[in-house]
Amino acid sequence: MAELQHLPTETGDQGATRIRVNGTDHLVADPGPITLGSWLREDLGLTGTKLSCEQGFCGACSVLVDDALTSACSVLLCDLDGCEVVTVEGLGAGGRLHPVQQAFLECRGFQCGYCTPGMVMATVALLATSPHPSDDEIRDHFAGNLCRCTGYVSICEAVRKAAATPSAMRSGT
Amino acid sequence: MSLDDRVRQVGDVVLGIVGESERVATTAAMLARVEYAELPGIFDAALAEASGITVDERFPDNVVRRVDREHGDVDRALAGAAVRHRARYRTGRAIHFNLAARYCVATCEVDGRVDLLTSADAPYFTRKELAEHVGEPEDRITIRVAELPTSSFGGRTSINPLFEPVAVWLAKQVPGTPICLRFRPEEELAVSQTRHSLEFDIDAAVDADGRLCALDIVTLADHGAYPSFVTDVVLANCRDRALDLFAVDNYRFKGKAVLTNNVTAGEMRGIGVTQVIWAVGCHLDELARLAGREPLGFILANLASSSPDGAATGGARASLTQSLAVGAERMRAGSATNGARNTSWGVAVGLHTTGLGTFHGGDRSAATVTLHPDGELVLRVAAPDSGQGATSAYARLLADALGVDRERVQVAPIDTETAPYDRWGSVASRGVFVVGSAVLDAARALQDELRRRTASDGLPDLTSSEHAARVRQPITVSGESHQTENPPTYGACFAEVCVDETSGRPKVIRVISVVDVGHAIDAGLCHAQLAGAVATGWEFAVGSELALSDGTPLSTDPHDYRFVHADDLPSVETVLVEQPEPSGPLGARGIGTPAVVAVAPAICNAIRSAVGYRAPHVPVRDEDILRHLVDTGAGAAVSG
Repeated sequence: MAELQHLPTETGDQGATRIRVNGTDHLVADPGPITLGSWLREDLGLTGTKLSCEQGFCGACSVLVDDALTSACSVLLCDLDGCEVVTVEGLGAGGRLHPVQQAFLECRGFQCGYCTPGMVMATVALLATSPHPSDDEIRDHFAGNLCRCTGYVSICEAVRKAAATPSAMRSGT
Repeated sequence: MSLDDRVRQVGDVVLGIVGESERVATTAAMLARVEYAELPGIFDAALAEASGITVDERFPDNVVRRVDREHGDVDRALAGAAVRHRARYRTGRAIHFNLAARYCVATCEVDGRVDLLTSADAPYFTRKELAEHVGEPEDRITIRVAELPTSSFGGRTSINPLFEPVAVWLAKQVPGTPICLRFRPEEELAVSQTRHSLEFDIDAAVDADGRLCALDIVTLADHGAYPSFVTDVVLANCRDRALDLFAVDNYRFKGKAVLTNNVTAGEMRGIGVTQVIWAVGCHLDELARLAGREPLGFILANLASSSPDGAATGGARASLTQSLAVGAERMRAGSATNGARNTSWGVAVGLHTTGLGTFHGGDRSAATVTLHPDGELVLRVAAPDSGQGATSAYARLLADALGVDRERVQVAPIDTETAPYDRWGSVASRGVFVVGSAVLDAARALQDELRRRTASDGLPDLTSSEHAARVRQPITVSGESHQTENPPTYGACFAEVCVDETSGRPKVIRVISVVDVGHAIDAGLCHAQLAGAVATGWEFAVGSELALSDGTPLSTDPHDYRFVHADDLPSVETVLVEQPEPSGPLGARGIGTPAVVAVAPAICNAIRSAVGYRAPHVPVRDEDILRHLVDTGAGAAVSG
């Protein structure tokens, strides 16, 4: 990412990880074998990213890493030097919900809410590359996000509603 | 009971270690050396009673419960019937796989009091069960319910014998210090209790007019290693629920639940009723075909017009005639079946009761409401939200009854010190029916109190400054509800399935679920329950089960399981029918459990119609359908 190259590099930082999370730069001196998901939750207190299967199956921990939908449980922090991460806390701005979050709220695209941050991030990722997805495309895209409550009906409605939101409101995170 | 020197199932506790961190405790555990003396195990429920291997000394023959019921003369009716059909069925160990990681925090004070923070749909029932497991009096235990909801579907109703009692025992090693225990993901998947695996032996017959004249059901439940009251619920529902749906003059039920060394079974959405109505729904569909009757017409001709005990109002016929008509019309309008290979639709009906009625001594709930001088209302109930919308439902009931904005109502966090007693918690679709009734009673109590204080008939504007001036101290009132009724909620399901002839995979291309909810207080929440229930029923029918070999899970990797994903249900239509329930608040019935029941038999009946395969076991396996296709000549059209 172009922005991160502006961070000062000093000798002794060779083992460090530079990472941007929701627009804030972090320099982690000795990351150790911690996953991105655990680091976000335990070190940054960003508990919106949920851990469940801890092996990349359920999608509850979905975040964006350099705009790519990623299971935060399945990547190590130390492998993300120079990367930009967006979590569900990084959506929206100035106290206003992101259009995808707003769509989930209006369509009640959740019940217990545990899968919801992952669903929201997966929706952001989908609409960034496919702004007007068909129903089949939507269902295929969410094959990696498990929900135990909704049967996916209201989730797909929320995705369609978000897709129908004017693109000007969808830009930026 | 799980903390003696025997291990009875995979996942059982061998050694407990308290450490300063999970890493420390795990490292210490890996250093432990354990000597096992191998004992004989019993893994086949059919052999448990006569095996001579005792799982729990309190039940020497492993039989924890027997349940019987009969009316009429079923043997005579079967012998003299026009068309008779007998078959066996088995249901698999369906898995909740709730996503929220299972945690609890237990503290044992130096004086012995226990404080437990956990997820529990039934806080007071949890306290009771925990007290029995750890040998402490109930009033020395406080249960705190985690504020962040987790889905449950029965998986987090009460304690798990391998979890909370273990946490308390560990906490006793370090009095005054809270300890945290969690299930790792593979434990949550493989050992955290499943739906009961049941075997059914069903013998049924019709007379010359196509009327059901005999129904004989024998049921065997594999409970696993650690006994609980859930076996009573399973068998009671297997005994009774078919009679809420179908009229039959000659009926016999014999049920038995046994212990084995398999993973212990527990509660799951629609306990027992999901399994028995699947088996009966498939069996009667088959019987109808043998009798040359069209399945939908057969169902309509045999619906019960009132409950056999006379308790239910309306009955299956009144409720389902409309639901079946609505669903049938929709299915015919949009069906892909005409001309499509290996594609057809199936129909089934289902029900479950709203709440528990007189089961195990009756049902009661209470609610307290505190009105603060600024007009804020705080509602306390001991029935948590696990995503079904309980919190917002109770807040809405209270706010609407008092004529105030919903934002004025806060539902307080739940613990057994501050929340009023509620017997069963958020289970058995009893929330609005039982707890909601207590909330409405509390609303009435508040209105009475305010009238008394203002000495007028009118109600004050709770947000006005003159009200605040009058009410300088918080006012707390309570409401109660006692319920002996548990009226049924009926539903119909139409499912359209296309079977892939190269793999045997049944693709459910369309589901229409119609449920009579009595009165939809919040239609969105009702539709949400129906949609989620379709997914639960789908998984029960064609998804995954916990497969065990000699009691050991074949896999603890979720990638090896077929959980329902977004691409498995391309078309789900949910329809609400509203025939008010006289005993329900605002005419409402419970929905969450009833909505599951008709789905799996509808899917299996659709498979039968599409390719002629009658699954004796759920979840249905692709290879069994494929074998059937190969044996009968793949692609041969089979009329429905």
